[in-house]
This record gives sequence, C-alpha cells and structure tokens, in this order.
Amino acid sequence: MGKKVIVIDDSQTIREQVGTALRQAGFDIVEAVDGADGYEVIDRTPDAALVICDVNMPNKNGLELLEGLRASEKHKLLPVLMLTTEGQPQMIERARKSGAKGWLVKPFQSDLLLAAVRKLTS
Amino acid sequence: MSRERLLERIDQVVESSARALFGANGLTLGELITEAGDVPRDHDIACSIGFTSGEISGAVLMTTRKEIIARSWPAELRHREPTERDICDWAGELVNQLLGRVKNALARSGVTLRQCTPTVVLGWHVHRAPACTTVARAYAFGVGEGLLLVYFDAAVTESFALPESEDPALTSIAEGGVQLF
Repeated sequence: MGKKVIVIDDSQTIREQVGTALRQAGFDIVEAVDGADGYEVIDRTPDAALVICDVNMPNKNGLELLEGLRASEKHKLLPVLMLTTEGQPQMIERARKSGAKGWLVKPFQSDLLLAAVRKLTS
Repeated sequence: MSRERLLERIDQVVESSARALFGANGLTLGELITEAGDVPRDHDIACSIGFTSGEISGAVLMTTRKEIIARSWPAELRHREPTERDICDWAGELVNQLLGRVKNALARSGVTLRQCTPTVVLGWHVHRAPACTTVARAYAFGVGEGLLLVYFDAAVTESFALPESEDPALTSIAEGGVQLF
C-alpha cells in the first residue's frame, strides 16, 4: 500500500486530476469535498501522510481547516499543502504561520505537485 | 486615473488572464472579436463568480458551448470523455481560476479582492442581460467555429485606481508555481 494523501477540494475535476497524478506515482488517495467534510475525513484517516487542501471552499475554507488542525492535539503534526488559485502574499503568510508546509498555485503541473508531495511525505 | 485608462488596464488584465488560463489547458483563444453582433444563440453554459473589496465589487461571467469547455478538459483526465456533470464542474473551476489570475494581477497593483465560490448554469441561448454596473466589459474570443464570451462587471468607487507601476513587494507566487515552507 502506498502512502495515503487526503485531497480536499470542492471541484470534482481537481480532486480527480490530483488523484490521477498521485495514484500513478503509487500514492493512495482519499477525497473530501469541502473543509467541513475534510475535517471528518482527516479524523477517520489516522494513517494519512499528507493533506492537499484548496482555500476557497463552501462550509469551511482551507485556512480555517488548517487552523483547526493546528489547534488539535490529534492532528497538529499532519503536513498540509495548500493548492489554490490564491497567490496573495498576505494569505500565503497566514497559511505559513498556521503551519502549512507549502503553497501551490493552480493550475498545477503534475511533476511539480508530485515533487512537492514526495518531499513532504518522505 | 482617467476612466478610459482604468478600463484599458482592466481589459489588459482580463484578456491576458483568459488567454493564459485557456492556453495552460491546451485551448488557444483567437483574436478578440470587436464588431458588434448578435448575442450567440448556441451558448448552453454559463459560469460566474463574485468578488469584492473596499473599492470594487462585481462578478466575472463566462458563456460558451459545453463542447468548448470540454476541449479544455485537463490533460491528465483525457483518457475518458467528460460527462455533462464533469463539464459543469470544470466550467466552475475555470471561472474560479480566471478570477484567481485577475486577482493575482490586481494584487500586484495593491488591490486585494475576496472571492466567493462559482455558480454554473445550463440552458439554451444562455446570455447575459444588459449590465448596469459602472464597469461592464465584454470580451468575445473566437474558438474554432464558436465563441467564448467573458464579462467583467463591477461597481467601483470614484477614487478607485490601478497604479501604473506594480509593487515588487506585492508579487505573489505565479500560477503553476510552488513554494515549500
């Protein structure tokens, strides 16, 4: 079994695009459709190696999810890579201070995504 | 800043953002079609996303044919044909990414936009009603035998301006770029 990566994005296309790229490299993928769903999926996936998370999503956005994880004893060490259309420095800084491990601006290139995922899960 | 110059800057940002977005997804947008013509009768999908900040708020809207959205379907997923549901989802993501590019370009001029999540509409003869916002720009890109229409509608305050020079300190990560912390 490969390392488990949780992909949280409200776009089915993006989840499938990320999932396809990572499955081909041997990762196992678990999906969630928004921040609230993402938190539940993270909670029931204790062996996750990484979370890839969008920012602008309904219910709970990616930064709120990230801050929730960092405030949780159970999940505070789980690495999170943000994957988003947002590129504003203030937002990136907020994510960095909240413990995100990286920031990738859509549209992503599979090889760059894979390199980042390999580094963060090694 | 004159109104003409403001509109010129907005046009530059929206047009270049649309070209870069579709180009990154394998679809080259043709030259802008400037002559006035009838609203296309064959558009069957529209996608829109709203934005706001202190001095400007509005929405970006695209209308086109589902077949044109399908032609920009991500390369990684081309092993299968997109369903109608896939096309709707992808149209929403495209307008989200288009606004993302516009936001990142405006951020370099010191304008910080907040956005909502996209909405997609299917129908027949889908077209925008006349806009009544202070900024109402339309861009008609030729795509093969069809058209992709992009609209940028916004209400702006009288003092709203886009500085002619960009502040390097506000430069963000480029589209497709990655930064590890």
